[in-house]
Amino acid sequence: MSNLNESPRLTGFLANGLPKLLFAVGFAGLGATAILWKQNPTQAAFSYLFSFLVFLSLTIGSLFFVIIQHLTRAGWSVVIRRIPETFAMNAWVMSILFLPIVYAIKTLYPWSHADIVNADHLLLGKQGYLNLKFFLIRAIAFFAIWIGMARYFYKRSTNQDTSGDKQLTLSMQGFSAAAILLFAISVTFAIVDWAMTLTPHWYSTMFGVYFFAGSAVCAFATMSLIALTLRKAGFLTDIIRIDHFHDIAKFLYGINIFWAYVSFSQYFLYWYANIPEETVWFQEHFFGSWNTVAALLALGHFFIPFVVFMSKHARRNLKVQCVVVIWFLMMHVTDLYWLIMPNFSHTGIHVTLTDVTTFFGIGGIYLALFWKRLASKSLIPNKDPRLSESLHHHT
Amino acid sequence: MTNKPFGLLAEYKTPGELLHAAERLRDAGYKQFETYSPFPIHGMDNAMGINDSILGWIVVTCGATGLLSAIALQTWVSTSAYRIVTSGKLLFSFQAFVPVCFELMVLLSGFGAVFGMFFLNGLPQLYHPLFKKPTFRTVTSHGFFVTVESTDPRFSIDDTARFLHETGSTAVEVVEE
Amino acid sequence: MSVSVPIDDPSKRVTLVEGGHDFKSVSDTVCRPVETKAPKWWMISFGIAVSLLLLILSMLGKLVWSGVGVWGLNNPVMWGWDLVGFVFWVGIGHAGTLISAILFLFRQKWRTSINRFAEAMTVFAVICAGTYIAFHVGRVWVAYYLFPIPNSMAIWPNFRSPLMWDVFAVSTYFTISLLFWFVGLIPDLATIRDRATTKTRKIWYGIFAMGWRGANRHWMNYERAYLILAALSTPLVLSVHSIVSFDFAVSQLPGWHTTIFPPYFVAGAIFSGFAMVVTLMVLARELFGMKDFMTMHHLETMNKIILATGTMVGYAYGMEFFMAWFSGNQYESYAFLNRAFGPYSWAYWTMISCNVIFPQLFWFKKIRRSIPIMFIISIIVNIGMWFERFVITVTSLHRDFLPSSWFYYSPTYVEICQFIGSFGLFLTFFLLFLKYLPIIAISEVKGVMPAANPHYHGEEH
Repeated sequence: MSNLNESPRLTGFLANGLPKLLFAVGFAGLGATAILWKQNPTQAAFSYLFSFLVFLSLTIGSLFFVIIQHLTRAGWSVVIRRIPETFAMNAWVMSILFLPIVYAIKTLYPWSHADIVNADHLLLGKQGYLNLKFFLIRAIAFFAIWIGMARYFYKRSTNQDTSGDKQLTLSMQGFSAAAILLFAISVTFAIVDWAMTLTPHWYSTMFGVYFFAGSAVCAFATMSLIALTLRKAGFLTDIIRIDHFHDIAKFLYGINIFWAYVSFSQYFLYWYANIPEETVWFQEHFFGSWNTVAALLALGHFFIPFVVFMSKHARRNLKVQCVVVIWFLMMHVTDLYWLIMPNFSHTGIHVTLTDVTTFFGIGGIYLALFWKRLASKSLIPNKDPRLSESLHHHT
Repeated sequence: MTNKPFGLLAEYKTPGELLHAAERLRDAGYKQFETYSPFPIHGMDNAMGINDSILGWIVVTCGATGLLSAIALQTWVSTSAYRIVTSGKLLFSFQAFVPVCFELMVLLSGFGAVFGMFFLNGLPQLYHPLFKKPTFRTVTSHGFFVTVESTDPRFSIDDTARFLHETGSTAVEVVEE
Repeated sequence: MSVSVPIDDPSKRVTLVEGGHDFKSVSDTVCRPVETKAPKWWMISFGIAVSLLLLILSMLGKLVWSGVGVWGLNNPVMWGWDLVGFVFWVGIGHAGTLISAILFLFRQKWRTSINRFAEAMTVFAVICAGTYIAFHVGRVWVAYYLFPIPNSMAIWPNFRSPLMWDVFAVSTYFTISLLFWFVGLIPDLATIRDRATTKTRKIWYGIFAMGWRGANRHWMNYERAYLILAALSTPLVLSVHSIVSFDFAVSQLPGWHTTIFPPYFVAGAIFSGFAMVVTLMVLARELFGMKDFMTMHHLETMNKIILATGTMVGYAYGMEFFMAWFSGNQYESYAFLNRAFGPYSWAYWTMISCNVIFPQLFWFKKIRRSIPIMFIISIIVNIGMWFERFVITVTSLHRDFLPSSWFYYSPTYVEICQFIGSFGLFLTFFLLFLKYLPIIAISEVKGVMPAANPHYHGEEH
């Protein structure tokens, strides 16, 4: 077992070359987006929103993981906690990447047009909530909450790397209960604001939970993928062991079932009641080839991983796990694509160049910052009081 | 006519000693031996060298049967046996069939898990030679035991008893059939 | 009696079994109620429980004799105390499986000393819920129409009806919970069998122990079966209360038809179930002297879960209200305003204060660890959860789309007595369980003791 006092650091390509490469990809992607934006602002704005939400969901899901580990006083997860902590710290860059959405409000959100609102008595009723000023105040509040919470946990956790102060763990545990409340409220209303009000007449009380479940799937899958990458590069090979991967896989499996449960319930209740103002959303999202995408999600996001990951042997096999988590990420991206893009491309799925440029643009910068930050500190919270429990973890 | 004994029963004091004894028996080439404890001991399967439980496969089979029969039953009832349109739904409304599909899948999987476990363990078995031994009655409270059965090719009362003593057993006795 | 001191060192874990027990003394302590004469308080409580049981039996007799007209239901309030009672009991029945299954999967070892208890509660609560389902059909002797059985009328059930899903969900849940409970009991029944001093006990516990003898090959399959049952029960718990919520949510009725209902009902069920477990546990640990196993740490953890689920329920109330306004749907908004300020506002505010406000006291560690306060709050929570079902069921119905049929529903004595009597049904079973079965999972508790680790050498490492 490795020495607890030595702090494993990220070095080599992952620490230096990769962030540079990703920055290059990111700026190229964003640059291309800027050029393409001129040609078709609506298309670019929707693509951008989609890509933004993909990486936002990763940030949100990672933040959730960090909070819940402290809330439940989890021991097994200590060795992997630095990865989600670092992802959550990217909340600040998401707040900057949000600016183009602010710029494109009028393109994206019908309720931002006074003439549309005045002609629509439902929207008039919602004006108290759906107005530009309040929308921006809320967005600032959400980012303030996320950035603040991410920093709270990251600072304390990394300070503990040097001080080994157990009090820090206690204070993180103490704050985690309030944090989960703030988290639930901010995530719910953020996604209501940014995705649900694309169709401002439509509403669903489950919507926040739906986005949260997808985010958690995304965060667990990414966590596993990053850990696998580190392992491949020779880092933490005897610290993040099969047992930890097995546990991540189990959580991923469980949360994916939860995702299926939530998305099915949302669809099912509206299908059954068959009230026009509610089914209109599904009408749009099931139109033409979007229907195929929805079927693909049911099959690919839920059923296939459900069967493949059922066996313990599959979950403990890192090659299988690598394939499955990449599959999960693809499905999660498809899920968000299906959530956002029918608002733009009404007749069916239509992948455009801006989808790609925004995805790589935001993703490049996001991941470059992630790797840079990961390299700046110890790869594990090496003086966490529960580290020994995590190192000896057996499933 | 003398009955062939069932085997030898050896008692141990702690889970650790029991695990150790099982490892020794495994390494000595015994096959027909068994350990008994008031609770499952972590690592004992490996120490005894026995294969993983096959219960999972039984459960998967039962679950698939439940799922398929639920689909078949609902489809047949709704589209053929009793065709009635309710609340404007199609006769074959797969969405509405999901809850019952899920429940029957779980129900049959559960039966598979419980009755499969009984089957694999040969339970209920209300008679067993070991129940005649008063010392064995502590097995469900605080006793740790090993039996080596006489069907094992390496079994011989004297040698095996000596071997069991060597592994740290506090008492070894013969169990009659 | 030593008071357990909370450990503030995060590198250490709380001891789950206090009082310096060894394996034998665990068996001795847990088996004692089974092996000794019933204490006086038990006899008295049992007497009360059985008289309440007679009350529900007479009410059900009246119901069968006269028909469901003896209930105060009338158009438009077609569902009243019967459905409230059903959802109330099914909800309570969720904690057992949650503790057994979900906490098992999350490796929450503290569950071992309370899971038996909670599982028993589950089984009995589902029986109580079942009486409502079985008898609300009116002609209970033809209740078999609910099942897809060939019958002389050549009628088959309508699988597109949520009530049909309920039949499958509740019966599956009952069966699986019973099996789960029984599987957990087998090694402990064998313990009682092996300790038996009387012939009757030896025979009866022997039959149900099925010849268990603690063989490792048996434990291997047994543990696998337990794990699989846990993995099956976890989505089952979610599905059952979700399906109960579908009874409401698939309709078009404002106040019922909302997408958050499934997870919201599940959270509420766990909330009420945990509260019931705390109520019963506080009493049982005192009366049976099992404080070494059901420690303050256990109770505190339970209270934290009550706080968490209570807050989730609060989140759902908030979301419903927000979306009712946000939807711009006048019926939806009216339904919620009517809940809060209409003729049933007293019920609504009782619900809010019991479910959302009182549990917030559990933010304070002192309160989480105070026996009298947690006992009171646990009862308040269950009152609140009963009111939640009442509010959902009755307020949404009593003012329907046709104002001329608006109606203020009040229960008749039959409904009230039936509900009170259902506690008799529950308590009769529960007291029998306390007396005749090991109320703590003996083998599981032993398994989490440090000495159970084969690498244990007298101290924890």
